[in-house]
Amino acid sequence: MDNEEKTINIVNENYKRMQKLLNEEYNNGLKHLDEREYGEEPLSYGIYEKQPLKKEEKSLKTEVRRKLVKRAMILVMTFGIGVAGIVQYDFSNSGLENPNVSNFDNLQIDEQKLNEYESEEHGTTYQDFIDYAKETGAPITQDSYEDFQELTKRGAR
Amino acid sequence: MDKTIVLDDKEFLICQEINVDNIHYIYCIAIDGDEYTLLKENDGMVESVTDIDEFKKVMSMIAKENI
Repeated sequence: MDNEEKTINIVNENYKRMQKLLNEEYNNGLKHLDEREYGEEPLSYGIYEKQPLKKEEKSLKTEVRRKLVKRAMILVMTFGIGVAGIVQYDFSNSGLENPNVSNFDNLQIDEQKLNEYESEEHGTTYQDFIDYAKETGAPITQDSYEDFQELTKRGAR
Repeated sequence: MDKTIVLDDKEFLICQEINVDNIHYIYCIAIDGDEYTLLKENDGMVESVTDIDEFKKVMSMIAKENI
């Protein structure tokens, strides 16, 4: 396996895991990657000049920690799949140059690429699954999505 | 216990610390507010990463560790 194949495998594996995580978020009632759906302001990048490191240890409330880590990880996840070309991030107008600019505003999901990727990977797309769920009343869950993929694979054989 | 860091009197939760090319980076999010930053540490001092290529490289590494 050459380096390119290894990279593709890592990206594919990351994408599957990210998709699972996002599906879990969906099932928890968080419907969209963009945090504006949560009624929050989008995250912006803060630029801090050189200063002494001041670390502390304290106990945050569980719900505060959970919310902050979730917001931070959603942002990180977009970088994990960025290498696959599915998510495009326009750095020319990012918070790195202007801390007040929303980073989420610069995110664009290339739906065509995402569909092509899913289609190559599974023979179907996530949108196919959503359509199927609407028609049949199947729940929109990771288990149901995996059942749908199995079903369509068997149908194709 | 949660690790926090204070920058210009503003408190951040440390979400991830990572070493890349022998440099220590700290990814953190404001506890009160809608801001995050990626810090690089050197000799007990920290500052935000402002080089886009460096930022992309480290964020991608953090992503790989998390997903």
